[in-house]
Amino acid sequence: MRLLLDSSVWLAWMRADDEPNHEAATAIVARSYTREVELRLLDLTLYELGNVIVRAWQRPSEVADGFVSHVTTVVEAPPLVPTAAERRVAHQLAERHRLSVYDATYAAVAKERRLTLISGDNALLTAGLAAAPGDI
Amino acid sequence: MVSIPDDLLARIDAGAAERGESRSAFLQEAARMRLGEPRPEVIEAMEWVERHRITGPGPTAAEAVRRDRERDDRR
Repeated sequence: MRLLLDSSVWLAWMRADDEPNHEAATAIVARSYTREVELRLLDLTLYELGNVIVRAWQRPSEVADGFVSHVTTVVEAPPLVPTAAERRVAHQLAERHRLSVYDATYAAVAKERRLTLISGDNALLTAGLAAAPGDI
Repeated sequence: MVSIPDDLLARIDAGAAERGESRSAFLQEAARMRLGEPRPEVIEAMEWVERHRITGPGPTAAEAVRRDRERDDRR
């Protein structure tokens, strides 16, 4: 099973307290140990991880750097870069579901590349474009 | 000698290109997956995260990402 994890899932793995998706996110990563799942991420995810760790959670840059480094190791493929066609689909999804283009880009890439999008974000879950970490 | 149908070979090459890998590397990885060979780098990453996990008050992961995107949208 190939899963596209959005930033909220990767960060739920990192955040232990008051994080409803921490255990489920950890379990997903653990399943990649035995190759039960193949994990993917978008190029923009790496920036979002750094932003949240450094700005929102106010942790040292070394923590952000270490986390991003380990995430890219866990994900065996290079970060996915949306194609022009996927960006077009993203704009359509953003319009149809009133999503941000950020959210819609995850959904579009997952749709076009036949990946299962996993997210903790209510907007994507409510639109039916992603599965929650605990659903996998 | 390994025999692979042309259509499957084309899909293999497409999958390898998506990952930025050679055909050989892709097939080796596929064999490791099929054999259930574990990935020690995942354990190393999980141990690192356990040592550096975020604790204490603050927004959940989903809330933090949402706020970060909204901050970018306001620019």
